[in-house]
Amino acid sequence: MKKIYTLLLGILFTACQHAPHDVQQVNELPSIYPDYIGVTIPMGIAPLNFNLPHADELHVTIKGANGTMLTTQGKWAEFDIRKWHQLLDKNQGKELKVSVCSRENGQWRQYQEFSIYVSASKLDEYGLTYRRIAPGYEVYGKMGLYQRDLSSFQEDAIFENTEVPGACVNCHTSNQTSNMDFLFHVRGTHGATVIQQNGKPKVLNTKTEQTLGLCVYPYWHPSGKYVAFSTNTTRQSFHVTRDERIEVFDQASDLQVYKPDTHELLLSPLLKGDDMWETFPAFSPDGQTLYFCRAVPKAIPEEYKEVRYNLCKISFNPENESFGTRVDTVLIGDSFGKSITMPRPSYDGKYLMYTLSDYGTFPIWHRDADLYLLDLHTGENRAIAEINSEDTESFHNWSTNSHWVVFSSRRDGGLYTRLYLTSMDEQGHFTKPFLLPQKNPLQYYDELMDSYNVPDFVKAPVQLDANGLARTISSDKRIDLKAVVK
Amino acid sequence: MKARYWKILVSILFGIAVFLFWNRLCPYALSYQEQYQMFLTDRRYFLNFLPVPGGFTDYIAEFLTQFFVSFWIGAFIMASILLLLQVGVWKTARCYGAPGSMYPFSFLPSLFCWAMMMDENVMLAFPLSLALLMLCCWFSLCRQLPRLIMAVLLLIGTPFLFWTLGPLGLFYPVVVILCRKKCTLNTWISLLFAIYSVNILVCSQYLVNYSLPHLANGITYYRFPEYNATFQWTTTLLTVFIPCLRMEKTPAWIATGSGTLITFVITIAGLLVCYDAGKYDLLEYDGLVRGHQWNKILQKAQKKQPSQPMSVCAVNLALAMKNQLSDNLFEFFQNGAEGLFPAFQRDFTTPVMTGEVYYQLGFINTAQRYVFEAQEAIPNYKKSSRLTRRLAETNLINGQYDVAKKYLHRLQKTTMYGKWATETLQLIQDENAVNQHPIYGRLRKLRLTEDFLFSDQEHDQMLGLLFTHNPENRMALEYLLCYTLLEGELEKFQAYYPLGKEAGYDHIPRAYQEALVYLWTQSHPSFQGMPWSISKQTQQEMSAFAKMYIQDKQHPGLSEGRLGSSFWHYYLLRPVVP
Repeated sequence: MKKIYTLLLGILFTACQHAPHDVQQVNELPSIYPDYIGVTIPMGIAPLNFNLPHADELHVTIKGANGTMLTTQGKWAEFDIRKWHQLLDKNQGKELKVSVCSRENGQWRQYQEFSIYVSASKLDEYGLTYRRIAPGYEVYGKMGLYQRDLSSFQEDAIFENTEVPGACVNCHTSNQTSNMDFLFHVRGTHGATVIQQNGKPKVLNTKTEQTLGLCVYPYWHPSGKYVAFSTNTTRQSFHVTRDERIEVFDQASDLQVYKPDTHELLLSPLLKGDDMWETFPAFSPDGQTLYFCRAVPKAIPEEYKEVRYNLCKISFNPENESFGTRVDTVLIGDSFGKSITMPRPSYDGKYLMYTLSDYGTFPIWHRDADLYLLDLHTGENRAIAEINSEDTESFHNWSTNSHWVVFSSRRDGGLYTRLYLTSMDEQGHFTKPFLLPQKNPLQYYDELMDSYNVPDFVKAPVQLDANGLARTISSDKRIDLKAVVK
Repeated sequence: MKARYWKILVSILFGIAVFLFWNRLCPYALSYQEQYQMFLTDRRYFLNFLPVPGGFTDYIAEFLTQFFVSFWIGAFIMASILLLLQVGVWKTARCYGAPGSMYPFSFLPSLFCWAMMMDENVMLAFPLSLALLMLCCWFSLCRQLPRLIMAVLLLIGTPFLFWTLGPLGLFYPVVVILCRKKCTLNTWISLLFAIYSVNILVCSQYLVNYSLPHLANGITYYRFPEYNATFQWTTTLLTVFIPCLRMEKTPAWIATGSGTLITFVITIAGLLVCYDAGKYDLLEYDGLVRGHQWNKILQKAQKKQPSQPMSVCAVNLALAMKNQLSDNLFEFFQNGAEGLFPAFQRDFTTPVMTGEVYYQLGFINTAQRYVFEAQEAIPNYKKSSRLTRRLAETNLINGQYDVAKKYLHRLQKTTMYGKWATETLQLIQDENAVNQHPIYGRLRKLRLTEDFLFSDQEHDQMLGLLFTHNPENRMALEYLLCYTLLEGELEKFQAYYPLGKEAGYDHIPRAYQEALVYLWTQSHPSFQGMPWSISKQTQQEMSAFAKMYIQDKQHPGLSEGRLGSSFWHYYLLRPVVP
C-alpha cells in the first residue's frame, strides 16, 4: 500500500513538472555554479548539487557505466542523496556523464554534456573540520569550530563562541585527522589552549616567562606525545587602496614543542632568539624532522614587504626529546623574491605542500598567494597550476592516504574564503578542485556571511562536551606550562 | 460614565503617553534599535530563529523593530506592546477575581517595562515576551478548566512557551497556579511544576550552544550576553505577582488611591532615573548623521554645545559637509583631534560615526573597516541593515562587485531597504553609471590609488596624500588644516596651508585667518606686511584678545562673543589634558 502511495505521489509530482520539450541544442557547456565540470570526486562525497543562474528550471541526467542513471528536475539540480551514493558506488574509478537541460524564458536548452570523474582512490575520512568566521579585521562576532559530514550536508558545531561570550576560537588542529587528539585556542578574556586526548579535555595557559607569549600555530607529532607550536608577536595594519585590506605581520616569533604528558615546553636555542623569526612548524610523518618557516627580521612596519620566509628543517628525536644541532634550509623563498608559509608534509612522506606569496607570513590577505608542491624525494618544486587561481589560495591539509587535499581559496567572489577539494595521482598531479558541496550551493554561499578557515580532514565525528568545557574556560582554571631548554 | 469606560480611557491615555514619549522625546532611540538588526522576509531567516529558546518572539520583535525607521510607527508599536501587557495583566488579575479598584496596579509592569526600554540595549523581545506570557495566562485562566486538563496544559505549555518566549515562559505555570481562583492544584503538584520548569531550563543547555546563565537570563532580551538582570527580573516578578494581589477586603478608594499614587510615583521616578538626556543626545546625533541631516545637526549644536567626542565628531562632520568647518570650527566646543577622528574602539557604536567621516572624506577602505568592525561587534551577533548597506556601498565604490552583490542580495530581502538594493544592483551592471553617480562616482575619484598602511597616528600625512591625490577634495584639506589647529601644531599648519591655493576658496576661512595672524604676531611687532588677506575685523579681534590676555589670562572678555569662539581662545586657554 505504501508503495502505491509513493508511486501515486511520484506520478502527481512528475505531472506537475514540465518535461523538456521543443528543446534547443546549445553548443556550449552550461555555466553551472559551482563549476563541477570535469572535476574528480571521492566515493561517498555528498551530492554535487548545482545551480544554473538565470535558469527557471533544470532537468539534469547523470549517466554512469552499466546503464546506471540519476535524474532530477527543479529550480536547481538537487540529487536524491541515497540514489547519488548508489550511483557513485557503481561507478568507482569511472566517468559520469552529466546532461543539463535548462528552461530560460520559456525555452528549453540542451547544453553540451560534461563529465564528472569518480576517483578510484577513496576518501577514508568522515568529513572536515574548520572554523567559520566573518572575514573581518580585529573584531569578531559569532564564530565557531565546526565539523561537516562529507557524505551529506550535515554540519555540527564543535564549539561556538556563544558558549563563552567574547571569546575567539581558532586553529583547531588534530593529529593526522584524528577525532580523538586535537587542540584549539581560545582568545579573549578567558583565553586558553584546549587540548583533548582520548576524550579528556585539558585547558592550558601556554604563556611562560621564558617564551615570547602564547602558543600559536600548532602541529602534532605523529606519536601524539608532542605538539610543535610557534609563538608569535603579531601585529596588523590596514591598507588604503581597493585591492588590499589587511596586512598581518610578526614582530618576533619562535618555535617550541609541547609535551602533553608533563606539560613541558621544550625549547631549543636554534629555534628561539632575536636573530631569526621562526613560525609554522610541521612534523614529518615519521616524526624525526620538524619543518618550519624562517625569516630574517626586518623593521616593522617600514619593511614589511621585505620579510620573506624560507622553508627550513631541524631533526627531532622523540625518544630523548632532543633537537638537532643545526637548521637546514630546504627551500629559499627569498632567492626568488617570495615568502614560504604553511608547510604541510603529505602523510606518506613524499611531498610537502606550502603557500607561496610575495612577502610576509599571512598570505590569506595576499591575492598573489598560491599553493606549491615540493617533492621531498627528488627536490622538484612547482606551482600547482592545476588548482591555483588568480585569487588567494592559502591554508591546506592532506587526507590520511595523502591522495586528497582540502584548501581554502578566495576565487569565488574575492573576499569570503571557501573550501575546495582536489585529488592527487601517483605522479603528483592534481585534478580540478571542486567547491565543498551544499544542498543549494548558490543560495548557501550567497547567504553565508562567513569565511572558512583552517580546514582539515577528520576521521570520525569529534566528540566534545562543549557545555562542560565552556564552564572550565569561564572559570579561568588553567594548567600552567613549564619551559625546559633542550 | 461607567467604570469600564474609565478604564478604557485611562488605558488609552497611558498608550498616548507612551506614544508621545517615544515619538517626541526619544525618537532616535527607536531608529537606534532598528539599525542594529536586519530583518529578512525569508523563510530560512525565520527558521534560523527557531532552534533557540525565545527565538520565535525574537523573530516577531525583529519584524516589528524594522518599522522603527518611522518614528510614528515605532512609537505606536511601543505603545501597543506596553498596552497589551497592561491588558494581559489586568485580564489575568480579573480571572483571579481582582476588584475594579485594583485597576491602577495593572499599569505597574508596563511602567517598569517602559523604564527598562529607556536602556537602548533592552530588546523589544522582552516586553513582547512578557505581554505574550500574560495573554497566555489569561487564555488559560479565563475558563475554569478541569484539574487534569489544566495539568496537561501546563505540562505541554511550559516547554512550549519556554521555547517561544524564552525563560519568561517558565513563569507560565507560576502565574496559572497562583491565579487559579480555586487552586485545585495542590502544593506538591505546584512544587513538581517548579522542578519541571527548572529542568526544562537546565536541559535546554544541551540543545543549544549557550551557557546556562545566559539561557536563564534569556538570550534575546538584552543586547549583551552578560549584564545585570536585576531590573529585568524585578519587572518579571512584579508582572507575575500583581495579578495575585489579594485586596478584596481593602476599601475600593484605598486600593484605587494607593494604586494611582504608586503608579504616578513610579512614572516620575522612572523618568527621572532612567531617562539619560546625554545618551539620547548622542543617539540623536547618530540618527541625524545616518540621515545626512547636516543642518539639523548644526541647529541642534547651536542650541546646546556638543560635549562628548561622538557629538563633537558629528558637528564637525556636519560643518565640513556644509563647507563651514574652517570658518566655524571654534564656534563649537572642541576636544582636540578626537573631535575629527574619535579613536577606534572595539564596539558597535563609535566606529559607525567615525566610519561616516572616513567615508565622506574618501578613505573608503578605512570606512569599510570601521563599518565591518562595528557590525561584528554587535553583541547579540545580529547583522545591521544600516551597516550592510554601507558595506555594499564601499565595495561598490571599490569595484568589488561580487562582494557588493552579496550584501545587496541580502538587503533585497528586507522591507525597508529592498527597493534601494534592487536599484543599486541595477547600477552595478553599468560601470559608467557608477562612475557618473553623484555619490559613488565622486568618492571613486577621491579615494587613494597609491597603497600605504593606514595609521591613525599620522592623520595629517594621510589627509595630505588624500588631498594631493585629488585637489577637488576640499574636505580633506579642511580636515587636514583643522587637524593641525586642533592638535595645536602650528608649524604643520603653516607648512600645509599653501596647499589651499588649489582648493578654490573665495576667502581665507576664519580659523585659518586667526591662526595665521597669531603666527605672524609671534615674530612681528605689527600686522604690516602680512602676506595673507587677513580681514580688518580679525586683526582688531587679535589686538583686543592680545591686550586682554596680556593683562589677565582669566579675563572674562576672552571668553565672550567672537573672542570666545576664536582659535586663540582654543589654543591659549583650552584646559591642558595631562
